[in-house]
Amino acid sequence: MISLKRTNLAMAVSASLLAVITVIAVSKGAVEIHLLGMTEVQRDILLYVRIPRVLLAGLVGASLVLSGTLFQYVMKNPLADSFTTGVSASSAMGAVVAIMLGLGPVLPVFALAGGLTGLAAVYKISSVRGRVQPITMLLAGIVISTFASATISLMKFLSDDAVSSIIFWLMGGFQSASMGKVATLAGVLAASFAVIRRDYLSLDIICFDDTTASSSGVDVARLRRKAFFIAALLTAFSVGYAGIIGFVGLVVPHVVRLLRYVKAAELIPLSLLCGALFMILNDLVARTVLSEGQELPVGIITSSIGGVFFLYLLIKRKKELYYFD
Amino acid sequence: MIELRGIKARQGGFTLSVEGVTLKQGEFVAVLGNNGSGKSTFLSVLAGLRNYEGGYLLDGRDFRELPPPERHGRISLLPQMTTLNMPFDVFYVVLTGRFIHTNGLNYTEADIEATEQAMEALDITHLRKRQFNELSGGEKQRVLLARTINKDTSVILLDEPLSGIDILHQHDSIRLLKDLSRKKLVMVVIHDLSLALREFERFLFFTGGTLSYVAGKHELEEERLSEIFGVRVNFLRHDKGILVYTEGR
Amino acid sequence: MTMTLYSRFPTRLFITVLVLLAPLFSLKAPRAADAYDRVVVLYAAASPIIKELGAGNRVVGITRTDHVFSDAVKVGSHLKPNIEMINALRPDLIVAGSKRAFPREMAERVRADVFYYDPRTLEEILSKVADLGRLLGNEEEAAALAGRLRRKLASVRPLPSRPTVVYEISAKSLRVAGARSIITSIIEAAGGENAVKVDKKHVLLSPERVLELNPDFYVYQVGPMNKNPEPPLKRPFFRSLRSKVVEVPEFEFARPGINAFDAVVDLNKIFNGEY
Repeated sequence: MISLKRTNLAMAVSASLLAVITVIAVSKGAVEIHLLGMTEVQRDILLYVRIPRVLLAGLVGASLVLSGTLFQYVMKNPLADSFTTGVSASSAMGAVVAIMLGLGPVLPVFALAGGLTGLAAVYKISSVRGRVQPITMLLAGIVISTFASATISLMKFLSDDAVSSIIFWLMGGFQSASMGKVATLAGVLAASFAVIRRDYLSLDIICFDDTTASSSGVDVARLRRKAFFIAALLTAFSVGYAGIIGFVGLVVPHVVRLLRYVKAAELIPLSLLCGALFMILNDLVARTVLSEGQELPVGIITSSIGGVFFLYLLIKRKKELYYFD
Repeated sequence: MIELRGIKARQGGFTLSVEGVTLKQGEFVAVLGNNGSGKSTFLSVLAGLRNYEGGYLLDGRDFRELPPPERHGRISLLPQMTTLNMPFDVFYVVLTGRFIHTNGLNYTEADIEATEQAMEALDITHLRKRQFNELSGGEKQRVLLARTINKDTSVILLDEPLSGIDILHQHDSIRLLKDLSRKKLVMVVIHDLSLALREFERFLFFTGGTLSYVAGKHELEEERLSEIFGVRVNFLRHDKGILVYTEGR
Repeated sequence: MTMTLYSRFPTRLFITVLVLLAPLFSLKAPRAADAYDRVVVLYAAASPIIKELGAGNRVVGITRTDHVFSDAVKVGSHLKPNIEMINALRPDLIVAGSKRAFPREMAERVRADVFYYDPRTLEEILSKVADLGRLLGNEEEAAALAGRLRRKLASVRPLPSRPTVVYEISAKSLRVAGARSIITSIIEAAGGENAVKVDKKHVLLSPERVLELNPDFYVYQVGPMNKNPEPPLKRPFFRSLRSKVVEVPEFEFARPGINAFDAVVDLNKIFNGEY
């Protein structure tokens, strides 16, 4: 089919772009490194700081995008992502508890626990006899999100001295990247992808109304549960490793859809590649835009680049956007 | 074959009840009744989308015992309203009708072939690259009809499939469904009494949630229909069949 | 009769007032007439100084985290003090941390003078000590305290060379002390040099940069801002850090008060290899 060729081409283009950006991101940074004739310090920086960081950024980007895309399928809403579902905020709540208690090293565990708790709450509120109600879920997500944010604010208030640590951590970043985290997240992402790629056809069919989807032979309730769980898992790991990084899960799938890659079999793999690409690029900006090794929190960059781009789409391509509703 | 005995399905204050009816392959059945009389509920019970009490045998087997894939492999349903929130093209929308025939991972050449045929049958081949959501109401309806028959099951349930379709394509669609009903059981919810009386052989009438009248084409009586619809129903017989003329209260 | 009444009452009243005011007069007597005597301290680092000045009994309000004056009323946190509680204490002087923590709009709502205690160097701490001494009418005590603090600085032992230092403020989001931090002044007084030159108080720094700077000492604080951090050498991205890694208490190093002078002495010992 023609569309298959077009998709393969797009995949090839984004994969090569990803490769190029990765090479650039590895060779640029706070410290100048000449890949030929490195000093020992430069070699250490490259191996233990920069490469893990670039890889983690790519993996978190891909994970956030996959989770955003899945949330959009589950809730039948193009504006759904880990924020609207409350999973992000509740992961962050778990992480902030860890910071408050001085349990920094096990922060990802707390983020995961928080995220899964938030997920359980949203799921419990929004499901009736095992069937997830998309609109209720969106509302439940907003409630859980607000509650988690309020709890974070309370914790900030109660700990005047830790407040700046919490604020900076929440703004997100890949400073504490390590090969261990890279390996873990790569495993989680690969497993999620392997599971969900078997459901591409079903994901397309749940874009119809539930009656049509069910009578087409898709177990709608079960697929929603599965996609929701995978999405929440990916979000929790991402937040645990890199804090809250906004807009990626929303903007990237949107752009890919606007480019007319709308079937899950095209949308998901392309979004994954673009998510990794986008995040590596953002982190590159975050760690090189200021002088003397200073950094910006990456969440600020993604939200501003993503926000501006999204605004452009909203204004210029309103017509196309309506069809997702 | 569908055999129903003492079916009850409740939702809120509404109860659907069907005392007993048997429907066979080769039948072309019209389902009629006023709004809210239970036609759509009836179809969704048959399609397995609603809980029910009572006996429902599908091809001689208790419907409850059938695993969902097998149910969906035997029955297609075109709901009254279909929404789609992804900008798929027409070809893909029709293709997704083949889902139950796949291994869940890919559509095969055979699926694509079947899709082409279904599109041809409903005269929508020229729309194949158009976005489904950009079509007119009648065009959408033909695409969804193509999608439903593309599922190729032995029972086909259609909830107002002809609404919004122009007269030309209504004729084509009806002829197609009639052809299909030679080997399958095709049930159609329809409001146009003249059209129903001209094309269908068997009729199920619903009033207030109850299957109140089952009749063949030649057993229909004006009096009975007047009661069911709450308007005066007159049959105007002529050499090509019956025209229905109704008078309001 | 009326005359007597008129003449007697004001006299009595006058005497009563005098008697009631007597304790105040006797307290105020040795100090300058315009010294403040109801003080609310909104920045905990200033409290030990006020205590050393012998003016502790005039502190009526403190923040939640201040443990120097246990009798004073707690009026909230240093970032969110409760204006109503402060006004209820009828203070005449507020010692606040910075214009950011206690902005003008807040200052206008309290009926008291505001003194900002926000030193960025050891010298500024000494001059703030003198200011507080003057405001509270304890100039002699202030001079004595400044003398003691200067003697601490004098006890710093010379080093063969100036060691470079990176000072970690917090680990989750790696932030280090920049040029505008009191830490820089402490490091310099102890004979070292802050390797981070960025003109900010706290700097969000790339771990790469730390490795490149390759400081002689990597000092990380432990306290509320850096609760139970992972030891730097255990962090994967610092596995090739060659600096000498030292842990110090946040309360001693990162608060611009009397403690900063002890920090200088301790850091000097660290530089000399005594820890």
